Amino acid sequence: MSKPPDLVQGTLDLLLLKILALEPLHGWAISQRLKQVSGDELQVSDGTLYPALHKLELSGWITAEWKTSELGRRATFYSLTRAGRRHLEQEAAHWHRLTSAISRVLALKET
Amino acid sequence: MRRWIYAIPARLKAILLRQRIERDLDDELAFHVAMQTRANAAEGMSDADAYRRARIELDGVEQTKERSRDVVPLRWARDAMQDVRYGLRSLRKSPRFTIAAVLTVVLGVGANATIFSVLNPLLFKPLPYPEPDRIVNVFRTSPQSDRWPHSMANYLDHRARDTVFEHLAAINWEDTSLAEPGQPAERLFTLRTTGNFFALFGVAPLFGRTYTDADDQTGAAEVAVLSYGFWQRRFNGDPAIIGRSIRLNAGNTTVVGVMPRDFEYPLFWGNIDIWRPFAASAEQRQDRGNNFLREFARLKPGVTLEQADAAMKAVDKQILTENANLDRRGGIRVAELSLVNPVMRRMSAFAFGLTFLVLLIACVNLANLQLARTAARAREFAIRGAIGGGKGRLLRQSLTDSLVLSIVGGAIAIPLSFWCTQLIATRQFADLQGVRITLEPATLAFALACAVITGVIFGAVPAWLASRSDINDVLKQNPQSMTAGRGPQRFRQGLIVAEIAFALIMLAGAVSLVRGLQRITAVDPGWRVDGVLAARLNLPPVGPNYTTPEARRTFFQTLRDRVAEIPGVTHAAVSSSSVPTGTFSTSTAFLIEGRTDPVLAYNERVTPEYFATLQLPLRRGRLFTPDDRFGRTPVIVINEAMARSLWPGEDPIGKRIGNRGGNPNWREVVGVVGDITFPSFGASSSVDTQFQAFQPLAQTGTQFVNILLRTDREPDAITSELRRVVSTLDRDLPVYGLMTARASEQRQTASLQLLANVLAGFAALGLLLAALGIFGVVSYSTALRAGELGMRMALGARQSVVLWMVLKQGVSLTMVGAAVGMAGGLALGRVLSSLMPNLPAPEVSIVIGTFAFMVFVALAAFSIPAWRASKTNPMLVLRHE
Repeated sequence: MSKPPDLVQGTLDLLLLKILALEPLHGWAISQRLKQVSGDELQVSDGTLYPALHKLELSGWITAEWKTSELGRRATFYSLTRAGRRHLEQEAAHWHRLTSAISRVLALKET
Repeated sequence: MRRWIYAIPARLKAILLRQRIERDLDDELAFHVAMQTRANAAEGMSDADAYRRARIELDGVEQTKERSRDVVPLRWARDAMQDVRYGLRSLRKSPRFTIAAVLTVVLGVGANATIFSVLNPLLFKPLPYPEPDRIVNVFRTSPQSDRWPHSMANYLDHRARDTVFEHLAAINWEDTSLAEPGQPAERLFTLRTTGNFFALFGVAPLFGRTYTDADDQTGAAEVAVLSYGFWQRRFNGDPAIIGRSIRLNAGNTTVVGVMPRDFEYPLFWGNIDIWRPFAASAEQRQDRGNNFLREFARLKPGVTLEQADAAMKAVDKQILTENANLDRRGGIRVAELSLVNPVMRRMSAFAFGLTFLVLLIACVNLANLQLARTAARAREFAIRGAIGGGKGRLLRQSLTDSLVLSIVGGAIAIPLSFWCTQLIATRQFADLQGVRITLEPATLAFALACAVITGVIFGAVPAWLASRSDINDVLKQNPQSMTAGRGPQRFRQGLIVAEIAFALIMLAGAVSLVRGLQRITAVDPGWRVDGVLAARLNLPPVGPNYTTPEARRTFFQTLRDRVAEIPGVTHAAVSSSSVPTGTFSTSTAFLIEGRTDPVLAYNERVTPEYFATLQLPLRRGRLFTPDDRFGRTPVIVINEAMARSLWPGEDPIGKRIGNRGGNPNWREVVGVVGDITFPSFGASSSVDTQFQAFQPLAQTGTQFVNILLRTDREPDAITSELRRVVSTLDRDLPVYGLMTARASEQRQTASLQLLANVLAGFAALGLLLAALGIFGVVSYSTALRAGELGMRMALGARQSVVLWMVLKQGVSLTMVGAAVGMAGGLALGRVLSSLMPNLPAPEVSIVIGTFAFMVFVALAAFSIPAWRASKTNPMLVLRHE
């Protein structure tokens, strides 16, 4: 199989926000969710994941909280903030507009 | 936006609670690894494998942590703090290096900061008056000098015709006697000024008012303004002094104001006690012959120095055209105000430049030390580079290390230099109270700048060199062989050569200057200095003894005779100026019979015993006798320089010299005496003329009275006697300025001595630094070769051979350094003689001696480690390998 495309930082942020929009998760769970949903199409190295999460936290889009995990020990759970939710909506809408435009261009038929 | 409610606390937490964040990060990643391990194990991997794979998938735990850390705001600040802490720690771990390096920085920076503080008032500090750069000097010029004074009439003309100055004032230094009835008389150092003096300098009085042109009119009521120091001293700072009348020169003067403390500025004016207006008489205002005024002016806004100069030259030309009997060879010039005369200024600047060389030597030392230390840490650097510290980070670390070192050194240097400058100030500048040499922000900034530059230059280079090495090379081979390679070794050799060269150049400059100063002060004055005591009297204009010229003549004679009677006094004389304790005061333009151009000569009026008192040798003709009195043929005695110049090859005896203007009153030359030279000639004071002429006091008279006596007793024993004698003549007449000629000479050359001493000190310092530096780096180089040398000895080489091997390199480096240093030193010598043409050059023997000394020091620095190397036990070295 061909090498999957690398994710640009901004896009990764969008994905993370969306995942967290559904429910609060800790870092490992986010990573698993990404792998499941994208069907391994999107390669997000865990080494990039955590810095991205921390950056989002510092930007105020998500917050972090220590909660007890399934392992029995504490873990950091991230959840979306109100501002983050709004940011997500804006970014998602922007993404849709972008991809529609690209699709329209790609759908041009050869004559 | 809403997000800041979350963003700000998150950022604050990231900055302030760093350790907690670190722990959280650790926990988070550990948790991730644990979860992944569990997942991996569930897929069937062994526990160990599961764990390992989990960590691998995390792309390196440490790197991830690092990247997460990088996201934190103010990352650079946090990193910088970390660098500093790390730097401090590594400094603590290598104490010998740290001490050596800090010491180097302290000495280098401290030396410069000290001399900067000492010279700052002389070179850089502006006068404490508003817009001091708008204040200028107006000088009269002549072929002999460019700083001559003006006459009153000329000044008034300048003022009337000037268009470029806001104010043009004139001053003269005087002595006034303060004699309240019933109290001992006190002599006051006075500045006599025109009415607009205070307006020119623009400083408001502390109390009362300053005087103005209205007070400067003929016949105006006498007023005076007190200086802060005098007001404190004499009147205990009593504000009620304003409006009170004091008795100056036997007349009533009203005190109208007191000036603030900084106005005095003794370095420029001297220790002024009071200011008084001239209030000149009509006669004085028309006097064009007596030149004694110094003119100051404040430029009008928008006028440049050149414009003012041109304007005044035009005015001067007008005056010359209108007055046919003025000396045509003169001119006028407008010059910027300078605190010290140009020669002193140049000398100070040169000295300042020399201390920079000391700083350079310190820098080179630091470089050596850094190189040695970096070499020792070569492995550490290379490994750090390989792990992923990043080259940039490494460089930053090294830079921080050096900066920390420099700043620590600089911080120690500043109080040290402060203490040193205080020491110098109190020892040398004690006469000029009010000269406050303090630690200025400028000095601090300057010292810190030196330190920082030093650190930057010599921190970055070695680290950069080290970080470039390939990790494999470093780990495989003997790490020390990396720094023994060609590149670093050449660099080190270059540093040694540079150090020797700098030290030599600096020594050359210092020796030239110091020796020159010493020779200037040792110039033969032409008379015998030891055993002469001088004192001054100021005759008041009123009083029974002083009103008529005849009464004054009688007084002078009686005074002289009474002083001569004091036991222990071998010779006594009265004269119009105090040669032993100062310089000639008045110069006059004389007419020479048979010539048209007037000649400027110092004009001293003396009693006949003057020459014997000073032991001034007679060259031709005769000296004065008691027969040369008032009413007899006017006579004059001239000095050799005058005789040689005016009548070369002829006998000057019998020739006639007269006054200009109207009645020449011809005087006959009866004798020629030796020249009187002053020790500071050419270096710190300019002299009006080389010609000296003497007239009998009995035939002329004087306003300033100086007593000179020669004694073989202790001067202290004489002084009270002298006072007693004078008080029997007139109780109200203060005797002041009592000083031995030797003491006065030392005082005059004090500033030169100071400069010479300071320089000598710094030269020694620079030499010490250079020697230590060379010694250090050579020791290190030799230690590097210990293995090789030990091997050679084990293989049979004799100790002397090993010794010679190391020495050979040392000799060649020394020779190269010495050659460069000599060339540089010669160039510097040339610079010095162009700056100060009057400074005598040092003797050749001294130059050669210095050179040889430096070479010897360098060779010693080489040979000690070499000798130690030859003594090492080869077995020990081999085992270490």
